[in-house]
Formats: sequence, C-alpha cells, structure tokens
Amino acid sequence: MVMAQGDSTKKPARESIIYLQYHLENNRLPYLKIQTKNKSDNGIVTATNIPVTVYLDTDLSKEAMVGQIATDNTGTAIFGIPPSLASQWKGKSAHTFYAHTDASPAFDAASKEVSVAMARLKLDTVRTDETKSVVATLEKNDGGSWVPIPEVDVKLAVRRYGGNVNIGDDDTYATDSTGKATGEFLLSSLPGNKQGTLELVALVDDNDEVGTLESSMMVPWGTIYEYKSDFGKRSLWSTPRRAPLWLIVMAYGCIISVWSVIIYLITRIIKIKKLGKAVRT
Amino acid sequence: MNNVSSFSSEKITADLYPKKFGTSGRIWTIGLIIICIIGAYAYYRQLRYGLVVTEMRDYVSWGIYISNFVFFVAISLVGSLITAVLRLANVRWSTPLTRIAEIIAVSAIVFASLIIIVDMGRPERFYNLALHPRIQSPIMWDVVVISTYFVISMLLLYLPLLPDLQILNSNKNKNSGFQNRIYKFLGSFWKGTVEQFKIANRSILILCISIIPVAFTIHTVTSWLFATTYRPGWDSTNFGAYFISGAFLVGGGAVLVAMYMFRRHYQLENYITDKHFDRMGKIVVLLALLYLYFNINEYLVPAFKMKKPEEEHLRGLFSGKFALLFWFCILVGMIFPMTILLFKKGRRPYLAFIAGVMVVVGAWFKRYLIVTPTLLHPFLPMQDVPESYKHYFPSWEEWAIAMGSLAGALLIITLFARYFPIIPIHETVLEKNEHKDI
Repeated sequence: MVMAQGDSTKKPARESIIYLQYHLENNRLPYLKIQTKNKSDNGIVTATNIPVTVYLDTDLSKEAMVGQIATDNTGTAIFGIPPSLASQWKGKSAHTFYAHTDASPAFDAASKEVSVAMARLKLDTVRTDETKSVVATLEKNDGGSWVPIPEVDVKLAVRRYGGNVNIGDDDTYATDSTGKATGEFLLSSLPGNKQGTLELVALVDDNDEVGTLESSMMVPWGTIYEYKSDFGKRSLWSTPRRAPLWLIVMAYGCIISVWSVIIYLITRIIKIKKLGKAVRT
Repeated sequence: MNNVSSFSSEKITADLYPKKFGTSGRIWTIGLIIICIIGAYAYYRQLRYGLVVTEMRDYVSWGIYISNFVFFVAISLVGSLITAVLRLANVRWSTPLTRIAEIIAVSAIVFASLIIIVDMGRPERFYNLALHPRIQSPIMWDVVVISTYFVISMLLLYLPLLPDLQILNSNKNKNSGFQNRIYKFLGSFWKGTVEQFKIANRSILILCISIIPVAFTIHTVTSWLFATTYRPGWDSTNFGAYFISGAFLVGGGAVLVAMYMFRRHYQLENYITDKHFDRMGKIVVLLALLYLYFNINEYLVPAFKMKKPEEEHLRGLFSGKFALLFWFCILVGMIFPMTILLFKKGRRPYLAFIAGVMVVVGAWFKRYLIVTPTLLHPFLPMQDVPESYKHYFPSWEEWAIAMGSLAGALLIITLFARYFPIIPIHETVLEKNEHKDI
C-alpha cells in the first residue's frame, strides 16, 4: 500500500502525439484532419481541447502560419484551408503542412508535418449491356498539367449507413499507367433509396504522396426501396397500447378467468357471513 | 405414541389450541425481530444513499435480491402441492400439514413481493406499474401472477380456518383480549351450519383446482424472466419445468423442517407422527429425483455441445470460481438429502429434518447460481469497465436485507402459529370421528 502510494506520486511517462492527415473530397476545398493523443503506460488516450498551430510550406515562420485551431472533446479538429491562400496554394504542385502544439499540463510540445502532391480523383461509370463498371482516375498536378499516378490502391465502394460496401470481390483496385482503377459492379440487388439511387465512392486512403482523397457520385443502380414504418404496428416491443392482439386476448383472458373465480369465492365468503348472521338473529 | 382416533375431541382441541411462547419461543421471536430491524436499517441506508450501497453494478444488476425473490416464489409453491394436489388426490394423511404448507406459502409470497420492491432503485415509482402496465413484459406477468397467487393462497388459508375460528371464539377465557378481537373479526359469523359447510367445502374445492394452474404459472413466469433473455445459462426452453420441479423440492424440504420444529416445540408428536415424516420424506425423494433430472438436462446437454458463449459460464460452474457452490447445491441440495431419505431410518423425524434443512439451504444457493454467474458472462466481452463490474459479492446491506426478509417470513409463520392452530383442529376431530365410524 505504502509502495503503491509512493509510486502514484511519480509523474507517469507520457508522449504527446499529433496525427495530421490531408483530405480532399470531391476535388473541392482540401482540409486537414488533426488529432491529439497522449501515449503512456495506460495506452493511447485522446487529448481534448488542445490548441494546434498550422503552417504551410515553411515551418514556424510567422508569415507561413495559416491558422490555429483547438481539438474538440473527441481530440479531433478539422482545419479548412482558408480561401485567402488560393494563390499560394495554386502556385506549387506540392505542399507541406506543419502542425505544432505548445507544452501544457494536458499535452507536451509536439509537432508533425505532412507533404502532399496536389492531386484529384475523378469518378465515372461505364455500362455495357451485361456489365456495369466503376472507373476512378487519379492524377496529380505536375507543373500546371495533370499526369496520371499509377500503382495506387483505390477503394471502390457503395456508401451505406455504417460504412462502405465493396462493389466487387476485391478490397481495392490499383491504378494503371493511365491512372485508372476499374472495378466491375457486382451488387446487383443492393437496395437504394426510393428512386433506387446508390452513392458510389472512390477512396484513396492516407496515401504517402497524395493524402486521403475521396470522390462520390449518385447512380441509379440499386433496387427501389420504400421504407415502411413499423412504428404503428402491434408488436412485443411497441408501446403498451400497441401490444399484439393475441397477447392481449391470452393475457387478459387468463387474468379475467382466474379473477372471476376469486371474485366468485369472495361472494361465497359474503354468503357464509350472511348465513351466520341469519343464524344469530 | 397414541392413536389420535382414541383421543377425545376436548383433548385434541386442548393439544392443538394456540399456545403462548415458551422461553425458546420468545428468544426465537426476538432473534427474528432483531434480524428484521437490521434488515430494515440496511434498507433505510439503501433508500438514503441509493443502490450504490449494494455491490450490484452494470453487469450483475440482479444480485441476491432476485435470487431471494426466486427462492421465495419457489417455496411458496408448497401450498399448492400439499394443500391442493394431495387434497384433490384424496390423500388424508396430509391434513395436519395443510396449514403449515399454506402459511409457508403466504409468508413466502408476501416477502417475494417485498423483495422485488427492495430491488428497485426508485420504489416510490412502483405505482407506475399499475398506471402504465406493459402487458408484453414478463415482469408485468409476474406482478399479476404473484398478486393472484397471494390472494388465492390467503383464501386457501382462510376458508379452512373458519371452523377453527369458531372453536377459538367459543373459548374466550383461554384467549387474550387481543386474540378475541382478531378471532371475532375474522370468524364470528361462522356458526358451523350445514349450509355454511357446504359452501365452504365447495369453495375450498374450487380453490384447490384453481391454485394448481396459478401456482404453475407463477413459477413458470418467474422462469421466463430469465428464459426470455438470450444469455448463457438462461437461454433454455426447459426453464419452466426446471423451476417448478425445484420449487416443489424446496417446498417439500421446508415442510419437513417446519413439521419437525412445530412437532418439537408444540409437543405435537401425536399429530405429526413418524408416518408423516416417512411419507413426506418419500415425496421429497421423488421431487429431488425429478429436480436432479431437470438439472442434468439443464447442464449436461449444453456441456455436451459446449457452444463457445456457454463454455465460460459452464466451466465457471463445473470447475471455476462457482464450482464449490455449484457442487454444494447439487450434493447438499439434492443428492445427500435424497440418499438420507431413501432409507426408512433416514425418514425418521430428526434425520428427515436434517435432510429438509439441506434441501432448503441448497435451494437458496441454487437460486444464487441461477442468477449471478450468467450475468457475469455476457456474450460481448467486458472491456473498459471498472474492476468491480467484473465480480459480485453482496455488500453487508444486501446480506442484511436478504436475511431480514427470510427472518420476516419466519416471523409471519411464528406469529401465525402463536395465534392460530397450526394443525386444523376441526378437521382432525372430524377425521377422528370418521375413523371411529369405520
């Protein structure tokens, strides 16, 4: 006990880590996803409400500072690239982002950088009489012109509530020399919305060269699904007034029959009492 | 030992008339009251500080309160066994045991109801159960069935008591003023006319028929509280029959214990004879065999398959941290008493009493084993939870409340025997006369 108390006064060893990811969705405005975590003997724990300063292309230079943001209660911050940096952004084919935190009781001083090439991910479909295919094209900016990026794994999927469903048997499809990744769409009976529309997704996940790129498009390839609410139906899990009729009949039938007997027996006791009083009088 | 048929009605009445407590009776009663007061204080603490005074947490949310509840419901079934089943089967030797069985049933069902309220975090909201009943819930079915069984048991206790109340009312000088007031209130209208007997006997017959399905329902529904939940150890279609057979066994054991205690302390050797122990012992052997059969079904079949989610639960019972308790329940709760009672010498009063105690104690812990180990083995692993969530051992408040409820049930039986004949006087006299006629 004494030893434990002695140990508990020691400050546990801690390593503060910044996670920095570049994201681009549908080839629009890019953003950075920043996460702050502390690593200790207890494992990796999220550090919340940590201020992070972001620099573009030049580290720790006042002129290069593009903004400051604090992580939220989940230890995450989404940092959008400000429109004021458009000319600087377009001026180069590749950029480096730097993220820094100052030392605080909750988090040590830490830094992280990520370099990305300006890239785009285009999504298209090819349909023949027999097959439907999804084609994703990955290109990067090279001195003002777009060139294909080969040998990059692209995930081709359909967006669902809980995540993405692969369109075929493979998890990912590699881009070829033209930067295209093609996969056959095998989900012929997947329910879509009321119009049978599905959302196709192409995803390059945390690539060393281009970061995380995601593009999506709507296609009428799903089966038509009309949601029918069971809310008003009688069921075992609904509100008391919506109990199944068979249960109501069975349960109340049993209750009424047994309690009828009980009430009858109580009337018998009253009868016995009356008979007793009659004898007395 | 004398034959009751040779006794005069006056002697039978004198023998079976309620008697004042002796020294041992007073010590026993005071002891029970003290345990009840400690239990009440523990419950006050639970009301004051909340359920946090218990050791129940997110996983084990049903601890010994619910084990105790199942035990009480089980033991209450004895009323239907001894009174109804044996009466309908025209078994006459059970007459001296009927009232013992009925008062055990009533006191047990009273405390089964109370212990459910004790288990509630916000008991003052209990009325919502009546205002917003959800008929889809087995808990609601249980509330309905327990209330029904309580009323039927009370009627089955009361109606056969009416002729005895006439005897008690006609001996005012033997009673205190308090007793006379109770007897007058309960049975001054009973004059013993032919018409009254006719109505009473017919009502008792109807009660005996009605109480059997209700008794089966009460414990089946209690078993469904578990079996309708998809969990290792509870996910069984066998649970209703398993619970009912266990209930009859513990009820039979409790009657053996009560028979011995009343016989010894009220000098009822002429009325609760060795023959009664012999016959009741045989019934308990039959019930123990039946319950053992269901236990084999409940444990051996899942153990043969050893499905992954069941494995940890079963190994915990067979050879893990619950093994000592599990084998105690199987051996002491079933095998040992059955072995004792198999032999004629074992069915003598003292040994039968010991066997009865074994059955009751084994049955109490068996209910603990039905409730707790399953809750400690959910299908999903227990992760990122405080260490205290992974174990369960009741706090002193839980023990005090549980013991207080058991003492309370015994107190009801004790006080009933103090103020009412624990063996029906009128029926005993009637049977004596029938013997004479034969």
